[in-house]
Amino acid sequence: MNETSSEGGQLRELVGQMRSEISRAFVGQQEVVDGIVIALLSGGHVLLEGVPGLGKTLLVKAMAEAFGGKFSRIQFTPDLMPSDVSGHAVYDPKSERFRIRRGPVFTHLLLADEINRAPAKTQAALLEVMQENQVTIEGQSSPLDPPFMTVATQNPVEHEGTYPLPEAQLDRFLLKVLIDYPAHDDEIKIVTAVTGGRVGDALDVEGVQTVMSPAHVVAARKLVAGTRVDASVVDYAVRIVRETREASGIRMGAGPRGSIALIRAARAVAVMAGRDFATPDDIRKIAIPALRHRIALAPELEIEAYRPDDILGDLLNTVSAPRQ
Amino acid sequence: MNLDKVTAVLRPRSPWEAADFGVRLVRRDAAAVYQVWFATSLPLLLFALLWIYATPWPGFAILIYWWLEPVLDGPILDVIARRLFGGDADVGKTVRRAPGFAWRNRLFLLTPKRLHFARSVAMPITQLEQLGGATRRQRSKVLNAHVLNHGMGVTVAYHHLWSAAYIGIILGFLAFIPPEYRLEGPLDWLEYLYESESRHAEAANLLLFYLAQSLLQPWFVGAGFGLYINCRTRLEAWDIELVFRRMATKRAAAATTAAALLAVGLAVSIGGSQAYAQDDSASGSDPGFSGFWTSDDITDELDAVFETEALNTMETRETWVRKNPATEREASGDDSAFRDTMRSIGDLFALIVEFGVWILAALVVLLVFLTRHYWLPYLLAGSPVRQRSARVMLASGEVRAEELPDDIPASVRALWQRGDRRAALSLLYRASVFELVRRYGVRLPVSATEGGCLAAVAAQAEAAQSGLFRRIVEAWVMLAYGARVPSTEEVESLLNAWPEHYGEASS
Repeated sequence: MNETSSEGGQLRELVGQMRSEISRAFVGQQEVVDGIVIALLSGGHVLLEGVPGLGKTLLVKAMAEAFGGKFSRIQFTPDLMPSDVSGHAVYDPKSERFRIRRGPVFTHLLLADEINRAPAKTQAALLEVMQENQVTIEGQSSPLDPPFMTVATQNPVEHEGTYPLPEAQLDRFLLKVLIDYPAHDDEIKIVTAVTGGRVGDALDVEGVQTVMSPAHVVAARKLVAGTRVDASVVDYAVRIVRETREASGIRMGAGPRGSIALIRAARAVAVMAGRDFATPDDIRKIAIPALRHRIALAPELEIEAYRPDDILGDLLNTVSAPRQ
Repeated sequence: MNLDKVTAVLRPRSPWEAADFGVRLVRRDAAAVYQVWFATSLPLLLFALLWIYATPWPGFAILIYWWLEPVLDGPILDVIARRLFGGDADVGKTVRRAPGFAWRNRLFLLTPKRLHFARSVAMPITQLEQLGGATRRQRSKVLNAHVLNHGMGVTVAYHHLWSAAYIGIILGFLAFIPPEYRLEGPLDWLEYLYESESRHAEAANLLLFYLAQSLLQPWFVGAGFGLYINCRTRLEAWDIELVFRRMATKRAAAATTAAALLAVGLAVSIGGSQAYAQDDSASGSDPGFSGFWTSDDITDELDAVFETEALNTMETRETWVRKNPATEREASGDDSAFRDTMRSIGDLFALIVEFGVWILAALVVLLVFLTRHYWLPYLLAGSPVRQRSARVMLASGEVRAEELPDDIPASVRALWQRGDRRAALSLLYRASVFELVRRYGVRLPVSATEGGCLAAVAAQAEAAQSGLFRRIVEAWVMLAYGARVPSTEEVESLLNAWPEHYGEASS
């Protein structure tokens, strides 16, 4: 079913190379790599959840290196101010004027580490940037250089002193990707790579080659946006999202933004599969990462330790696939 | 029952103190009680375990074991009762008598009385008093008026404690499972225990049930027995009888001593015997000395008792009484006719209500039966999540035979030639899915996408069917989602191969 059009063939090939390069630094966990690449191609942002020490920073740095983009990292803390994210105006005594000092958000890839440790005001400042793709400082709007993507991380274990993101703000993330411990063989590769004649335990991205440019990413995004989506596929995506609103185990279902996210991400999945059209399989593949942060489980299921993934998995088994 | 040999203080107690009294009886004789318990319950447990492993219905083992629970209560009751009344409470004999107790208590095994809410109070009537039929019912009525509510309270308390013990034992086991034997989730062992169809899981569940029951069942029986004994103590004034018996014993002992002294006195001093005899006769009014009561003594004693303050307290109570006595009203013929009419109307109304209730009950039962398709799956499926999983239909539910034409290739060809190409390939795809499910038994959920169908068919069907199906799906996907129309030759090739694999000729 692979159909490579001559127009996007080169870009698809570059995307494939980028995945391979990222995987050289970030060993194993191909689903996590795919999730990040899908979000990058779809022009969305990713919420990455996993315990500390699994290489989240390395992943984002490797991706930035693979497409030659700029990379910034903000460690969110309770005393972080919105101006620490977006930038601020500084008075210059020489020129006797205020000068705009740009914050770390002016980059291509922004790693917002432990986003739930900053208060709501600072979170909102970043989420506004994510939504608008521009920053307003002292009334002056500055657009961000495309491609811009935020990878925000959350620690699922430590909740003391955190400010959980409200559902409305979680909705801004295209995907929520779960990062788990590496497999046994992958961990051996990681340990070998880190301890092979090096001092310290830092992972680096020296081995990652730049195979794309930011301009290529922008072009790939246009290619993804032009991917054909049949009406029956849209209908399938909408039926899945609507089912989340009616399912008995879900307290709050996904909104229309969930349907839109499904289609956007499915188009990227299709491009990565070498197709210029999306299929119901693409929707199904990306449904759980695109919806798991947009639903809230009923209290009785939360008490029984069910996860959104369990409920969404069951839900996908009840929605009939298009056949006409 | 021999009140003379009773080994505990019998006195009127408040109901909860009485239940506690029964529990303390069990604690006092705990060794004997638990010997009897294990001697009788372990064979029953073994039987239930054999049932799990030897029959095709392992899930009924716990139900059977639970239903036979009264068999185990009888021997415990016997031990406590015998020890209380100073009887022979040999463990071996009690165990040998267990079948007899089961037969006496058959009411609680073979009838809905098994679900009696105050069984611990009701069982002593059948077992200890050995009553049956109308006599038992009459006896139960008298006792239940006093202890039924508290017997039910004991049952409720027992079930709460049993639940706590059961859950505690399970959590204790879970806490001590070594990390290497833990499943993925913290509650996965529970899921295994309750939702697995494994016989080992059923056996483990039965053992946990038994452990919790062993902890509490003797105390439950004891509490009920305490209530029963207290009720009889009150109704039959056992405490007063015991006091009287003690008094009589004391007096009999005093009389014997006096008689002996008298005989010795007579033997020693014959001369003065007449005078002493006269004196004894004169002092016959002192029963404490002579030990013999005369009617005058009793009259005096009763008079003294009736003159005590306790029997001379005056109390004024006011109640409403009819102005016209009933006899006067019955004398009036008009009233009598009116009353008869009203009684007839009342009887008719009662009849209607009674039949109405029965009809309503029958309708409810009928309704429950007719709607079983709706509620039965919920009972069988368990949690809502499980129910969702069960909804996965292992058939192409949305493709029905009546929706498909008889001659698929001809119909597809006609649609294709008419220019309705999407409909043509859709029909071919759906017909293939239908035939794979019907003819080759491929299990396909309704939610299976094209990729899901291909994976299922590749895993479950033969290579020939799988190869053709892959070509059909590819053609369908390219057309439906990629807007790429396959050539007519390609479609013809699919249609020519179709009857061989999916048509009537292939069967």
